[in-house]
Amino acid sequence: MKKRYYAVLIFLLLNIAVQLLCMTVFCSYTPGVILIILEVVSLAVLFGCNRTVRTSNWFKGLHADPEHERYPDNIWYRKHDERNFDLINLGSNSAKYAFDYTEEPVRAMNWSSGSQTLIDDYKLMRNFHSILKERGTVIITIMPFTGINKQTGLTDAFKFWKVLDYTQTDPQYRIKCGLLERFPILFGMAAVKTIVKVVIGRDGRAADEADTDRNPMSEDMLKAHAARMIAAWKHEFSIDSLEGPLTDQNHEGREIRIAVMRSLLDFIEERGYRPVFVIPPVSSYLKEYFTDAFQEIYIYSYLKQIERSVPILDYMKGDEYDDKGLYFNSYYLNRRGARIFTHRVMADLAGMGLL
Amino acid sequence: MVMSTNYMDYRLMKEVVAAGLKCGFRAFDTARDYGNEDIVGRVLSECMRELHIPREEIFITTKIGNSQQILGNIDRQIEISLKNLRTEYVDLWLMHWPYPDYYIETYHKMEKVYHSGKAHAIGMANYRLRHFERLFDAGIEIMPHGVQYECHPMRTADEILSFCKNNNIAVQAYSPICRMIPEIRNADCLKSLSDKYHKTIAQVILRWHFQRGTVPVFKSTKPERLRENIGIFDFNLTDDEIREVSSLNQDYKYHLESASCPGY
Repeated sequence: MKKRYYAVLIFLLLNIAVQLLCMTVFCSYTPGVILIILEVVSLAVLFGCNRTVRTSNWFKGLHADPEHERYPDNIWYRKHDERNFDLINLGSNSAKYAFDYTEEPVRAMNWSSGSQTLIDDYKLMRNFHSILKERGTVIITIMPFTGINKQTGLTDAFKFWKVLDYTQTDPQYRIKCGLLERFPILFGMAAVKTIVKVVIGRDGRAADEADTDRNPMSEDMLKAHAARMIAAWKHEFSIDSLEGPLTDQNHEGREIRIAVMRSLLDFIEERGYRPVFVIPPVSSYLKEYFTDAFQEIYIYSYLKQIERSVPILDYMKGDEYDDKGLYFNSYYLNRRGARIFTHRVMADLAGMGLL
Repeated sequence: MVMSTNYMDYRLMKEVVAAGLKCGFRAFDTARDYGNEDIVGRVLSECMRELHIPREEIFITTKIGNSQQILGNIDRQIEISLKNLRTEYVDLWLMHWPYPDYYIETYHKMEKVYHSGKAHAIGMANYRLRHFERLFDAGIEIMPHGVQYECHPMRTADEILSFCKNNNIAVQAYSPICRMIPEIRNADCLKSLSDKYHKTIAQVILRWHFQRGTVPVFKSTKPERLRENIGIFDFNLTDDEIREVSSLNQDYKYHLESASCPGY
């Protein structure tokens, strides 16, 4: 509150100074008055636009947990009495769509908010692990490229700005994230587009593509989607051949990911929880790219290099999940697929004594 | 028993603290991170003057927050707290959380401040056994005088209590009645004891704390509740009844530590 008083005071003093200047230059108060009116109107419009963006669905969608229902933060735990959860899963997009605990008799949370790195996973564990019971299980979802590093930026930091403690945000982004949170008008063109969408009534929530029991894509569409995914990954990680050796850059990224995974595992085990690696399935359209050679280079060699004894549940192998009807594209499980897969994982964990 | 003052404004705190002092309460808990240490100081100094209670009769606990641990100037932080609280010393000065990478160094600095007399006792809040082990392995000069942690029938934390008793460390229990969540309110054994002794469930639990040797730190904004809470010294639970209440334990933590202390 004090900051607002100072802001108003400075605003008033500046305007008095402007008035005095106008009186001196023009021998009249009129230009000063006009200036003040323009100022007030401009500020009102600016704040109005800022508020419009702040309350838009687009802005909410930039955050990992706008409703405070995904992570057990200070707001969640005051609304919910459930504690001592059996299990949580970490992971990126693949994990977000793979795990659905709705029909399982376990207390579990899916901590994947979509695109999320292993470093984000580690920060989420640091911030929210207390929801787990003693010896609770932590599923670390291994995606095809978990073992190599990718660069993240302001948008990734901003996604978790309201989720994680500020000390968990990369220091170079803290001030920017704070400003963007309060003044999303600073997003520039994206903010302007949002204002237009709000005005014309087009700022709806994005439909949940996974909320289906079938695959809406034809065979040709699935092949094309898989090819696009592969092309995107190759571009993102500068890969020429999926079966070629790691590039120098990806070797460096591999070292980073080994270090992060070891830190995450140390953190989990020090607190008495039990980690397990889960490799989710992909459709046959994508699996044909993930040959044995690819899996060895990008997945299994990574897990071996971590040098920790962690159980691995690998559902990419075999044809159990080849049915395209379990996915909503070539990669992610749909609602039906997620429930079938989750049920299977829970049974396997129980068989291993991890649940 | 200790009265908590977190997140109260001046008007409410003055009313509650004055009522508490008149009932017989003398111990008050606050923390830098509650954002109202200065209000606690103002209220207490006014109440002590108005009710003619000397400072020596009042027991003040305050705590160092995570951001102060990061700053590292612990000797400066006690000065800020003393100024806020309008006193020359605090009776118990706690580290609010075992903030990773900082808590061991913070405790060593607190030991130095203890020697200055500005804190009559030092300790910590929200520690688990692994935090104590790490701290003790790093070497301490002064055994903590007091610790504070969440403790109630659904979270008895027996191993921490044993550890404290073995090391002669006083224990304060926050959320002592687990905010009377439905599982506590509807517990058969508590209802039955409440009927037997003609006491409320909250009074039964507070008596359980007293007999176990844990000092409850509770928050109430209702003067009548304060009178009720202090009315626990005219009955006694049997050993079996203590065990029966303790059997509600399911390691249930209302407050999730990692949400307040990342890396906990």
